[in-house]
Amino acid sequence: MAERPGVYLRLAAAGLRAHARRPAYLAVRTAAAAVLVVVEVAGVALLLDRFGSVGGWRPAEVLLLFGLAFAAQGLALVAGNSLEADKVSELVRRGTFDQVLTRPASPLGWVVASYVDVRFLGRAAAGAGAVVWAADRAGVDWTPGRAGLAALAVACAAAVVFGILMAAAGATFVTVQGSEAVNVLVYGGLYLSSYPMQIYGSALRFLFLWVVPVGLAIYVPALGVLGRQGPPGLPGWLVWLTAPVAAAFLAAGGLAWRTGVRHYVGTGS
Amino acid sequence: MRSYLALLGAGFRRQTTYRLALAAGLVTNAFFGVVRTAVFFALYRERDQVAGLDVTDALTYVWVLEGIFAVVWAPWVWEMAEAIRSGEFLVELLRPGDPYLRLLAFDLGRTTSVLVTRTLPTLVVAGLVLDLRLPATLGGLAWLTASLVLAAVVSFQFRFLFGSAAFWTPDYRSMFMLLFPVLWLASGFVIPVGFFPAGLRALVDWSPLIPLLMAPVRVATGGPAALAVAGQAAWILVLWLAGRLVLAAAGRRLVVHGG
Amino acid sequence: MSALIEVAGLRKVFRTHRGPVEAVAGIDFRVEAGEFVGYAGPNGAGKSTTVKMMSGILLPSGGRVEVCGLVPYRERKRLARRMGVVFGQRTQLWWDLPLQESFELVGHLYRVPAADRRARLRRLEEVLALGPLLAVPVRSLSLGQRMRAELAAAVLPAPQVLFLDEPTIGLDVEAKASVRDFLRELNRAEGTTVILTTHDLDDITRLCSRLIIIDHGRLIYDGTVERLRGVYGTTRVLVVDLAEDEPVELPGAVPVRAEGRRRWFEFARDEVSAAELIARLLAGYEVADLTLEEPDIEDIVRRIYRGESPP
Repeated sequence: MAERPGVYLRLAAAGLRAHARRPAYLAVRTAAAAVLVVVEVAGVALLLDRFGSVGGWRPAEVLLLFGLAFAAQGLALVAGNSLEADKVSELVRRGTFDQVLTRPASPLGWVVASYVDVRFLGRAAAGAGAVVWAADRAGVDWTPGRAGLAALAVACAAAVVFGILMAAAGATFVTVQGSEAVNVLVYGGLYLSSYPMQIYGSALRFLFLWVVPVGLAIYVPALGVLGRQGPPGLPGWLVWLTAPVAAAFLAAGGLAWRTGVRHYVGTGS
Repeated sequence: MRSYLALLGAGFRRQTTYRLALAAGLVTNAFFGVVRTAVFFALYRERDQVAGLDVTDALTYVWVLEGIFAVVWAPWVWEMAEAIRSGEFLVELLRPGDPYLRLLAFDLGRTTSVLVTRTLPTLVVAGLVLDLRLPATLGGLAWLTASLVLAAVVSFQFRFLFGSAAFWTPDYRSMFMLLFPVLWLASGFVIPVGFFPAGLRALVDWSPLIPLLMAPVRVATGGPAALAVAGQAAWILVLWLAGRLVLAAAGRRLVVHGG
Repeated sequence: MSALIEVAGLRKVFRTHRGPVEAVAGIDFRVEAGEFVGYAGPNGAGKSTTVKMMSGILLPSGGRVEVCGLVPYRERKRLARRMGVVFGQRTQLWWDLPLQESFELVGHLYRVPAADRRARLRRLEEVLALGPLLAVPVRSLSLGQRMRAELAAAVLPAPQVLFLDEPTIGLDVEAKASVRDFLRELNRAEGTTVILTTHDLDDITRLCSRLIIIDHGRLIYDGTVERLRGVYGTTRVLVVDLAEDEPVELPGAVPVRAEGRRRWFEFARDEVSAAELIARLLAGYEVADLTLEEPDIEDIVRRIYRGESPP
């Protein structure tokens, strides 16, 4: 597996060059991705302002979570959109994945690099903008530590999302159909993590803190950014676990992908 | 007339074969419904009513939304546009009869299947587990059913209008993508229209997006049913006229450009 | 000296909902370096399954396969560096980018040193007439142009073995000829081993020194094209243009077709010689013209597919 990373960067650059040949198309898609974030955040802001608070959190604090979740989603999808169920299923059905396997490169690297989509950066940027705006409304004093925590949240949540996508793609090799229920874990998990975790029942909390830790990745560092104490059972030092847990989940996702590919090679399409 | 009914049946049968997608869809609906329910429970913990809506209204909104989601945002949204670009659609336009009604019949068959296999179970299960404001009388249920079916019709009409952009441009998705956030918000899929600030709400209440979600929600939660359904019917008429204009223009274009 | 490709007892069983299906039921053959092998068989015979096992993208259910001294499914990436693959219908190139960029990407992917890449590319461009196409995006190329480009990209890293899947399908006569010339020269000058999967029998007769025919997962023929003719093509056809339209009886030959004054007679070459038959003909009838036709390879292969055993 000792491939030079340069090859994948070149592949990605080639994909981006291909996209750049239609700049208007790209601009529209990127803008649309960003506007959707703005609209969702605005909607939630309207809702929360009507109610004043949720779970003891002020509207601006909740909107910070929304921003972090969108930023993570955008970041993960730049690389991970190639692994979404319908895309992988199409690769298998059309026989394109066979061609990928004849290349002297890692199939994951090849697929991801070939389909890098910059338009999701629009979502990530809008999410980051929402973070800044919400933090301002919440009166957050940006120290380097707090900025680091926000970045940690986005990176770890993006890693978890990418891990889910890898595992789902691996499963698609086995089922061929493509498990769209996996989208629930990605988009549902991020949506759930956009609200403070204490409002959920214990089952949901456990699932998204420890099993699919996108909630852990967003919530715990956010506590640090907002200078809040977590509820009992979620002490502040958990923030040191965020990165290891996310990394472990990412590795598990990679394992699921490799298992899926092994199955594909074993049984053919 | 019989051919339209046949199309309805064909559409219904076609959609019921997508069992795996149905299972995945139900899981998605259930999950988002549960999360939104938790959010509203938390929101209403310290207040009884906001903007005239209580927690039961809010939960009913959530589950009608989840139930009707796949009807409004039908997964086969671009099929017509693709058929137009590939040239297959020409066959449809050349057949005798009314292409709009034919497409509507087939589409309604599919959305009826979704109503039966997704909307109904979602509402029933949610209604049993939670305290929702769903109609208890036969009359009320009839109004709700009518409202849901009309929402399906309006959904088709929107998809037809968006899909017909394919007659004029190969990039039919871009315009939709730009409009989508507005549609998403103004139809009430982000938050209930009832929570909009007064000025915005007044504006949005008169839009053709209301029939998609808010109308059935209002019928369910005991608002003036006849009024809501009449509003849906009025918009169906307007959108139908728009559809006819589009078809005529498309027909002229095909004659000139040859498809 | 071990062969470049060694296949022994190769088997593949697929598990379908209808039960296990044996797509490849025990195949043995060896291909030495530098051979040009045609690989033919009816659809569903197991051709693509064996090629997939040879290229490492499918795991065999049994038997042994070795390509370039490597076990394909175990050392997929190492083997990938030494082999080239061209699929007739699908492209290995980058659709939206100018052709030149596809070649550069291939060069980097297969770690071809820049100087070598440029030199090789210049030669390939010349031979395949790709010069004016370099700036054109791949999606704008015609099928013939694209196929030449695919071949150039596949051989740019100087692979030891080249797997081709229907490379001439859909091409016009001129394009087919230039592709065939290129492959012939490649095999001759660089010693590249070529495995050509094809339905086009012209490809086989003009390019392949050896033909492997597979049907229902089993090898039914492995030998030269000439021997195929010799083993299965034991009949020849005498085509006669008579001076007058009259009925003709020719002992030793079977009339198979008649159109006006032209008659076709089929005879078994080991029963009567062409010379004898012609002598008999000329003795009894006035002949304006005559020719001898060799057995059509298409007929031969069709007969093999149909399961006719060799006479």
